[in-house]
Amino acid sequence: MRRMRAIGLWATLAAVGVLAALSVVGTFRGAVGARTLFTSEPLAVFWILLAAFLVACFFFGTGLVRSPGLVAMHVGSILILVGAMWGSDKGHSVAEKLLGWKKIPHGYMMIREGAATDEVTDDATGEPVGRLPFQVGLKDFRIEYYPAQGPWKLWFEMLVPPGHAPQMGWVPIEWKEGEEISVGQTALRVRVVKYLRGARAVADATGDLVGAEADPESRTPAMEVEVAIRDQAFRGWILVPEGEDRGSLSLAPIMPKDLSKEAAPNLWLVQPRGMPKDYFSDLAVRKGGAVVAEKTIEVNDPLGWGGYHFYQYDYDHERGEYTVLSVRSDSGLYAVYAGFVLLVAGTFVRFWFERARAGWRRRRSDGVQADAR
Amino acid sequence: MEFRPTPVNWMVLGAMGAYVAAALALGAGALVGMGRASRRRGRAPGKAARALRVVGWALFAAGFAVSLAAWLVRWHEVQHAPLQNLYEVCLTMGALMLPISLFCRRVLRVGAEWADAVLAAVVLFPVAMVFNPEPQHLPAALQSPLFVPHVATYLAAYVVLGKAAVQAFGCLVRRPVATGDSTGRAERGGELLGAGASADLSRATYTMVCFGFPLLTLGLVLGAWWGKLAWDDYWNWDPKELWSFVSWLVFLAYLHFRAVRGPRSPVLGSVLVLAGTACILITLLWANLSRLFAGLHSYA
Repeated sequence: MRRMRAIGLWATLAAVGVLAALSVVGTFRGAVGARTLFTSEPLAVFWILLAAFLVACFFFGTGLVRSPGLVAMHVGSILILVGAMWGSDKGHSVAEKLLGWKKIPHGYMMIREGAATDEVTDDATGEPVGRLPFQVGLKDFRIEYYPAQGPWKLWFEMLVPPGHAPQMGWVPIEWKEGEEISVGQTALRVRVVKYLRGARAVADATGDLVGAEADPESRTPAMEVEVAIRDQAFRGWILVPEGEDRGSLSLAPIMPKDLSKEAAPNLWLVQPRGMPKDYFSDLAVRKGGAVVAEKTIEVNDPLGWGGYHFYQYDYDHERGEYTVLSVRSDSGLYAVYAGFVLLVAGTFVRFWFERARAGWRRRRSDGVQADAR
Repeated sequence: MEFRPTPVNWMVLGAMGAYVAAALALGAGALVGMGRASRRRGRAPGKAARALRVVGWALFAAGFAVSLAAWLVRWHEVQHAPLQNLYEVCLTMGALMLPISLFCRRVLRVGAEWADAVLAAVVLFPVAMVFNPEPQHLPAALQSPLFVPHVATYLAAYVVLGKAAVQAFGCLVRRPVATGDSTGRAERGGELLGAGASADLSRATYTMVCFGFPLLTLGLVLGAWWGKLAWDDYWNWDPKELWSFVSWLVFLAYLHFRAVRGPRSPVLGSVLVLAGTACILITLLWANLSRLFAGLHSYA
């Protein structure tokens, strides 16, 4: 019996050594390379053998069953391995072949605001991999930013009709008061005449806003700019409406007529933003035309429904009009979670409580012997 | 390497000074006590040894108070628990050392406080001299209720297993010396680490690993659970994840080895513990700082 126990423990050491060596190799291959390595067929065989070995530990006189902590640790490890294999791509294909359970293991969904879809695309290729038995709709997408300090940003915006080159949308202008700056690849030149950190608008006799003046109590800035293109020049104020995060000035007066009509060129004064703090997608799950589940998801708070989990993965960085969800099948997930609980509980029971209890018993028996003497 | 004069860094410098002085006083106290014990086996430490220990503990407590204050000031500066990057992680470890040292002494009967004070000074050194103190916003993925438990549990595990490594190192470098006791031999090094012979050091190493391993496991599992919520998978094969798994496996191997051999092969057991600690250092430092291992944890 003792020999079997020793053989089992040395075999465990060998398995742990192999796993550690493979993990070290994996660290040098990057996450994608490591995933490929650990999900390859030889490694699938290794995982199955490891799980079988852990099961065998209960039957070959290792003394495992005498310790509740060790039992929990080993059962936990088995559950984690089985759950992870069940939830893997290969696990899904085996379940489909043997049991007829057809489920998409993982993929992505890109959903525009106001739209709904059931199509899941492949992580790597972007090709459709299947359809869910329900639709997921995006009611609203929002980004929350950290506050940022510093002067507001100046942008040039022009809508370029298809076929025109260069294609241009928004061009940032790195401005400095008094300096003339060329805008991107265009002939447009901009000079910031005056920048007021806090300003209020000034109206003429007819009520039209014609400029701005400094107002120490205001948090809304204003900027006077001089814009020139070839031999045409134009001076005006960019005013920001109270409570808004941006204000604009139309450049139509100095643009060629056809271009100003089609391209609607503007200068924008935009409040600077810090880095994104969080992203929120208001999702609605629809089945048979009815909404069956709703949730606002964010990073760290996914939606679980119908055997899948939907994670906030990415979003439209330009205009915030669509969200990208990562879709994961939840096959095997709860086995893994149960394994986590048992593994952690087992280590604490084994190495904290069983050791403390053994120490207490030893001290008590020493005390009894001392009393007897 | 340069000192960046922020209020937190000045406090860290002060804490480091107190920790170094504490290490010297506690180490001298242990040496004086050891010499006296060698001459007259069984006698209590003398007045000088006791005085050095009192001074050492007072300095250790002062270092702890200053590093805890620095940690709280940092929290106020960044408006979240300071556990985000290496600067904050090392700052936290510097403040964790005394409570863990006291717990180990009182409950686990594992000493070597002078080595704990040295470790505290060593982990605080890069805070003052190497890492960037610029406050950073928390990215969306780190705004999780699991952020503090995951990182704090790992840091506690690292400190405890660092103490295990000190005992293991002592077990490796111990050497026999002649004494006047009945056996005629004792092993120098053990007393300095708060233990007697190599068997005591081996037992102390095992005690520390038994204390640290569940924390290491909890940290690993909390990370996997958090990864599932944030990045859709509990295991992303990220280099830092893999190195932390390797650390866990090495300590798991040590515990299995100890189960097979008991205390009979202290040298090999100690080598495993030191290897595990080296893997922790790689997980904590190299996986974050080296461009070899870009991954999900690169923000740190």
